Amino acid sequence: MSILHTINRSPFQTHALQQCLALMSEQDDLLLIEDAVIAAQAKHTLFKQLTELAGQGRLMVLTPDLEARGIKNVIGQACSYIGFVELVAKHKSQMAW
Amino acid sequence: MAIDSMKIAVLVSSAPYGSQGASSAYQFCASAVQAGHKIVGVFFYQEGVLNASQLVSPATDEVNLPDFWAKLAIQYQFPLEVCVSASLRRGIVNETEAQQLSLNQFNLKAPFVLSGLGQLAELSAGADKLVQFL
Repeated sequence: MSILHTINRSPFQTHALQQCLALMSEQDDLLLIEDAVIAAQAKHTLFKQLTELAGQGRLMVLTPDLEARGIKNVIGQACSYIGFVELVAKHKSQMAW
Repeated sequence: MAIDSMKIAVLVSSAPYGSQGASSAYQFCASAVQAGHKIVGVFFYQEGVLNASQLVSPATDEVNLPDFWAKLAIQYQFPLEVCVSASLRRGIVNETEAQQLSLNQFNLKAPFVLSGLGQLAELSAGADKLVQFL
């Protein structure tokens, strides 16, 4: 029973990313949206952990939110809203952090 | 409609302006119906109830999110349910509530309807997936 985790706030603003990473199981995916997309570029304390997740193909970043902020993702797979819908289809449930 | 189409319920708990959640939820819903999935309903809770105000009037060259919700819901025939207790706290009132509370005005936008948390349970029970936007 896999979960799609979505985070919408920057890791510099809340502990959501840290808490989510600690609770994710192996079959779960993580999608960064809104202000959370900064986590796919900035060097922060969780960047190494996030890079590992990206290496397993389990980190996605919402493209329109990257573009709106003028950010390019260093890690993770860029994903459209259609991709977001597909991720919802792939997983049993979604959890918003 | 695609064979593997899903029934999706959406929960929106952020205001139309000041945070991005409601806008993300709208774009998700628009993409889901475009991909052939069915939105069984959108439930507006907490600050999300402000999406249901017919008094929201941004500049004409800006996005009017309540209008966008209304158009999408009418086009794809899904309900826009708004938590009644969260609404009354924030000044979102329909005609019936206005009469009961002796208020001179009401401002719930059509086709949004006031409903309760029980309706959220019903929406999610009738859906394959529940997607939340904070």
